[in-house]
Amino acid sequence: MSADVLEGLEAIARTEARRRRRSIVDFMLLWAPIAWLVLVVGAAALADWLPLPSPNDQDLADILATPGSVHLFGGDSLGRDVLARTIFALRISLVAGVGAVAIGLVVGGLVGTLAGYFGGRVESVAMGAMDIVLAFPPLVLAIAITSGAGPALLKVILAIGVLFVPAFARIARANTLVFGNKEFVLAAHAMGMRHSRIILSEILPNLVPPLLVYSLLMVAVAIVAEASLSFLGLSVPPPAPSLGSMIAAEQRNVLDAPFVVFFPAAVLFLTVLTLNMAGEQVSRRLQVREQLL
Amino acid sequence: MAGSTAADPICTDEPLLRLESLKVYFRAARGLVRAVDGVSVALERGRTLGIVGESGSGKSVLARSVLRLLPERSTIQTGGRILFDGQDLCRLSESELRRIRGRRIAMVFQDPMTSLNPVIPIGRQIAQVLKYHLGMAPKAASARALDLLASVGVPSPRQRLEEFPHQLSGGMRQRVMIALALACDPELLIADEPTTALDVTVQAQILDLLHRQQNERGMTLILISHDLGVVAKLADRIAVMYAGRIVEQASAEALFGDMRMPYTAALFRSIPKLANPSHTRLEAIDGRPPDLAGELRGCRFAPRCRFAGDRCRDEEPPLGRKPPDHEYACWHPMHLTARGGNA
Amino acid sequence: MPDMIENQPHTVEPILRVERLVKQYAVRRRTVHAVSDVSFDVMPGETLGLVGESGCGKSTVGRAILQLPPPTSGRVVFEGHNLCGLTGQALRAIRPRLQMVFQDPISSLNPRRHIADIVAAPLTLSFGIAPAERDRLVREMLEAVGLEAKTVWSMHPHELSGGQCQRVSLARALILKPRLIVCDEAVSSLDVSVQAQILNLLEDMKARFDLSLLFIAHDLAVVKNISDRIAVMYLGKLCEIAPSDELYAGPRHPYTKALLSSIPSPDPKAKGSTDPAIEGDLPSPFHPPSGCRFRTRCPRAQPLCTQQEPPMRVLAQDHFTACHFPLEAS
Repeated sequence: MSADVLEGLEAIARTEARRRRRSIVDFMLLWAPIAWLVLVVGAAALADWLPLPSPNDQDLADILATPGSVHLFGGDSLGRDVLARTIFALRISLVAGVGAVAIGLVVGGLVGTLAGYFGGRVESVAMGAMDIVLAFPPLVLAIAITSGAGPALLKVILAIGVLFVPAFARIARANTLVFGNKEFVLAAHAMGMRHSRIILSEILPNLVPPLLVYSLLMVAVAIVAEASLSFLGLSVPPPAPSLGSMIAAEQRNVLDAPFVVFFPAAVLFLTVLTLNMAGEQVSRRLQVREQLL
Repeated sequence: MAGSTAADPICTDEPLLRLESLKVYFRAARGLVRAVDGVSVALERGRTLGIVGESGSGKSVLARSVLRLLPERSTIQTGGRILFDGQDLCRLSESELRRIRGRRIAMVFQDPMTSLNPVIPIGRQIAQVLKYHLGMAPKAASARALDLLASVGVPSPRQRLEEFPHQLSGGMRQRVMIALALACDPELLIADEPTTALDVTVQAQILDLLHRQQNERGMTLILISHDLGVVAKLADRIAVMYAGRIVEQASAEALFGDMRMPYTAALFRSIPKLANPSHTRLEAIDGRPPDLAGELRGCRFAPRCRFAGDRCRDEEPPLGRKPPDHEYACWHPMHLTARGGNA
Repeated sequence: MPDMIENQPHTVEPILRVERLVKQYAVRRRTVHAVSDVSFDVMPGETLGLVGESGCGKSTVGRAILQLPPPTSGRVVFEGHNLCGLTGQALRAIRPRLQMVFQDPISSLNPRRHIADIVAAPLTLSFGIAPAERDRLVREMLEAVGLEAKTVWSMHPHELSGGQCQRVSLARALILKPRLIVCDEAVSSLDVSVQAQILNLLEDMKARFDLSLLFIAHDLAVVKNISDRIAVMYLGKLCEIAPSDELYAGPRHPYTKALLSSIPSPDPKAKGSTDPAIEGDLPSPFHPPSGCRFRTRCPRAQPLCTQQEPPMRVLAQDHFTACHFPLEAS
């Protein structure tokens, strides 16, 4: 017996080494995106207090200035500091991303949970409404909403948020169906719990993990959507900086001063990428826990 | 029926299947799980071995390891041999093994719904096996599939050939699974909890079917179940598994006539018996089986055993052989007879 | 079946009376007759076993009693109140006295809550219970069902074994001091050794809290062990009701007999007969057979069985059978 156990232990030791190497990679995959996101969110949140030039101050001497100690990311075609503009643009991107997801999550989550829980006519009406939203060409819907009156950023958030509602509703409904059919929900009914309470305290905690993962991914999608809308001139009006409009405005200078487009584009790319990676990691970690449940 | 086969001259000295101190370990997050930990068993041609144990005792892992059907990545087989007809299955290559799987050794699993392909008509599924293993022509294969379905008692088999698994009842699906397993006339059939998902009346039908097919084909059978009653019905020889080991092994007659290992006795006593008056207090086994990833010292049943002494907790009892053919691993063996328990 | 109720000399009022219970579902525009005209009583302090194969409607009966969902027609009289037709607050007021324990020990507990919260959940529904008092009751109930309160208090269901989860379910059902518990296959997914623990626990709890039980299961040996009387169901209808020992000693309905002889006995002496007692599968609940529903598989079926549905008849004291040609009493 002992010889076999030794052999088994050796096999374990071999896999342990492999696992340790893998765990370093895992560690980086989780923490590098988080570090970047913390940096980006922190910079955007503290933009007003950072020692930056104003994003809208024009200086003729700095037109298309190369990156250096004065302008870390260089200057744009109107001589404005690209770093400052990128950070202020990020603020708009993040607000738009989180805001749009919040709308989608709250409205879609509510609609989907109620549809999945009550079924029948509630479900047909709710999911029918979702299908109608989905049937609208997204761009037309976005243009329709942004052309209305009101603050531009709010309209952008609303436009993207409305487009997200059906997807959140579907996820919430599918998961409610799964958990609503479990016996602990039946047991709650048998105890005499009200519907509102069953939804809040029995079903909702089980919807958090899938909706959380999806929200992280959708923030990234919303940021790209905001950038696309601002590229088309449908987001915040100039001179307010926005990643999309910065790229759009400097298109023609791309050959002379590539950094003017590169920095905002790189920041956009990295932010979206890291959000996706973080979502993936969270979902993987939750899945491991899920398997234990 | 056990009596007639016992005296049967076809039982030669060389067993069809012999497991020699087989060990199957798994890598898991909590450590090395010793699912099967030194199991030796021999099974002669034409006989039935029943393996009984609770969930987590390693009985299904044992069955799957015979055909090396366990995930290679997480399994370590540290020792032992699986001798099938004199050939060590552990040393065979994957392609050599494929010629044995399904052809000479077949398996029937607990859940016939997930073991059958949901999008292929059952007739085609059987025919595919025949074509693959025996190289039969399509026409002959479908004719044979029809015969097989009829022989396992599927009513109106011609019509069933075209049906999909979800159109059949649980009992019918299990019959189809058995037809599939019997397609190539295997020498050994391993049935892993074949009736657990079924109702008692259908269970009786399936057990009867297995018994008849075995007699007709002279097949060797391993029947795995958590239910002593199911095993008692068919098996010539019974092995009781606990925590990855065989703790008692004997012919069905000898085992039920005289249970020596306290675990076997406790398992027997915890079954509610129809013959007992209602509200008869059952003798439950307290606690739960040990964690096979943890340190195991002494007899594995000792923490739950009423008769355990210091020796049981420190020193593992060997699987001793008592004449004529009764093996058990216990320092303080006892005597319990099924009939006495029933009276 | 009304005659059955008249024939039973009741000195004590039953705690639960089920009368002509019917439950039908619509599945793709076809009607499933899950339960057709089922009537029985449960007396105070009694355990009534309800046994039958999967698909016979026994679980539907259990759930219809708790109005989860309510039956299509019929009456469920619990402690003198007809539950059918009650809604909202009136029904919620009765629920604590009528509890249920389910089959799947894992899925009947919310995976994201602590054990203590799960057991305390019914208490939080009634206002005005102090947290300290609530914790005391939860601790008491966990200990009563044989769990170490301190250890399991903040664990999650997945950290417990199936048997322990079933103990938690029982604690949750018991904490409001119910009068009747419906156990729906409560021990079916457990290993025999654990099953015996839970069966013993149920007997103890029944005595300690003065409960009545409706014990629904497919395993007749298990049902017989715990029940005072047994009701046998086949395809949505009752075949036979009798005291447990009498049902075993002298089944009068051919289906009961078949069910009894299908149970494999852990005794090799009984091995000689591997002949299955009945052939074939359960008929479709969409189109149940005319007359007696068991006639398609019954070895004693006559032309009369096709034409006429057998009424529930009393054959001996407390022994009711719905069969035109009942077996002789042994």
